[in-house]
Amino acid sequence: MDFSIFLQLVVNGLLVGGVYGLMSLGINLVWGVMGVINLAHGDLIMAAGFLTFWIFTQWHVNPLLLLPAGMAMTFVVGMLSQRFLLGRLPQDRGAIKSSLLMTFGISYVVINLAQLLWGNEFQTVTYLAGSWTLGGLDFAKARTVAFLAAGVITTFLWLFLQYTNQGRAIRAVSQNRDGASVCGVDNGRIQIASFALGAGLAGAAGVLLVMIFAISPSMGSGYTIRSFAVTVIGGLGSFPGALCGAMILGLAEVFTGYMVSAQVANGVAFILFLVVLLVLPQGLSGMFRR
Amino acid sequence: MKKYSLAVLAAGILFVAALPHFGSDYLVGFFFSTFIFVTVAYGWNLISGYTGYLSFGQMSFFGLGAYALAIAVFRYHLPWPVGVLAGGLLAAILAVPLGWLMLRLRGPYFALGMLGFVQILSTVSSAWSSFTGGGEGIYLPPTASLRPLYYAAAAMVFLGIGVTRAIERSAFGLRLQAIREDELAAEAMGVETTRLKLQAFVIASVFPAIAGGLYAWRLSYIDPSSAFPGNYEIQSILMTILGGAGTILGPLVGGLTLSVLSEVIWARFAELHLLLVGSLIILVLLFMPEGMIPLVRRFLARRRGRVPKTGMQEVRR
Repeated sequence: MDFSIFLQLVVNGLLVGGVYGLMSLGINLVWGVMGVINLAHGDLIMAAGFLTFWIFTQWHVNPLLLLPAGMAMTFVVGMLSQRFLLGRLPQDRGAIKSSLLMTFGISYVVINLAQLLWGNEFQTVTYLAGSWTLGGLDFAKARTVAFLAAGVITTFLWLFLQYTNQGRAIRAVSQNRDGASVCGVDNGRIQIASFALGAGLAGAAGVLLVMIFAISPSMGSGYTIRSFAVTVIGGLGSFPGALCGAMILGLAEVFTGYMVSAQVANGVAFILFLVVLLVLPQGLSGMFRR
Repeated sequence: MKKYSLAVLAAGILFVAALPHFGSDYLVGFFFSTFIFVTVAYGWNLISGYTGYLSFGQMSFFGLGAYALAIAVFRYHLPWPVGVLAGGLLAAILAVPLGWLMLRLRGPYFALGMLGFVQILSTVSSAWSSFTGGGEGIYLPPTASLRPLYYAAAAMVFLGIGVTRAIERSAFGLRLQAIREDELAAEAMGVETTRLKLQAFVIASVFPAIAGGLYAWRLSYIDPSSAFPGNYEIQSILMTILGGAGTILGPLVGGLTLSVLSEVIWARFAELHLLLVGSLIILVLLFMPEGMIPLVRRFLARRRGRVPKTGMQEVRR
């Protein structure tokens, strides 16, 4: 492979990786705080993507301006699901299983609603065609803008978790639920907040994703698996790990897509997920922690 | 009690055997598709209901069975029953290395692993077009008669009931339920968890594979999206938890209830099908997490004035 092609692929992979990072932080957060995987995560990404596509084709609004709308929609869905559905499941040994089953049910509700509203076709938003050239490398405009937007949101999330009381409470619950409760943190409220925040991050990722890739109502589970794979690669609850994992997945997909085929690239997340779980069960950050 | 259940079984067999002779084609078709779902549900019940490993990937075996039949008939001109059995055998063979890998993963890891595996197989089937027909799929000769297919599906349901009953009452089944309740404790008590889980996984893979073969022969066409249908996955899971996961009759009772409901009530709202199935899963988990069978059993016990029996299957998962 030509070295310039190699560099170009690296650029493309990293740009996609930025959005994957944002996407996976939602799963990472919910899992850290509640020990639950939201199987509807990818479907919320899809729903926000379709909302963006719909408003964009109707009124030609800049997709970046739709970030708050996409996030708000999935945030509310997440809040209501946790408050009225998941939060009501009995908290016994079977809690993880019943929450998995329930989010699986929710995911099909979201898929069906999207099919009703927006049909079954692949759709994309053609915003910012073309690319910028820098040092002989092409930076596709849409990808670069999506990457930067993802970076900004990720930074804000980090600041929120690091420096606000709400953020500290979320981190406290994910480190030690009982300890946080003893210190006066309302566990139920934090769970609702984190589930809603996780869903909101899925929404943000969906708005950015539809600028880069074509989306369809049935694409959700592929992105749930990608988000989960990134979390597994990076290690649970680790911010830098998650971003690293996202870059690795982005690069792996772009290289596989170039060298083998785009179809096979779809399976890369799953392969990485399995290999990491079997070889490095603690993820990348676990490797450094030892 | 034993006499009573034997009588019910005999009546059931008689009804199922006689149905094509007095029922309309529509009715036979209805029961055929119900039996396909229930067969898939019996597989799920074994691995997820009894062993406690939530699988969202039973469709990988279903699709394997569907493709095995299509390829056996289309490329090798074998009779369809051979294709169906080949699918079952293939699934069992594949389930050994797959289970060996996957069953190391627990909880959400296993669930997402199996969910991902369906996509892998679906990708393979559309990418390997020289063998599987790719996105264009494989057209099979149209099925001449539904009757043999109907009887085969019915036999699979009875096999599902029989196998589940035999397993529940054996040491093997008790050990599987011990794994479900607490795998670490089971291992500490000397249960060979790895081997037993794998055995359950392999048995549970054969049911969806055979169902997939029958379904493909009935459809007489197969492509990646019809071979790995997501709605079969979620609907068979709903049937099992509606009837009662980890009970012998749960998948059958839940399956019949749901099929009749969907045929009578929401056949008119076909475009809302997935939404209704998804919402029903949510409702069952919230209001009837044990399913119908334990509820009925407790009701009967109370009427007879007996203290309800609390076996393993009554403990909520």
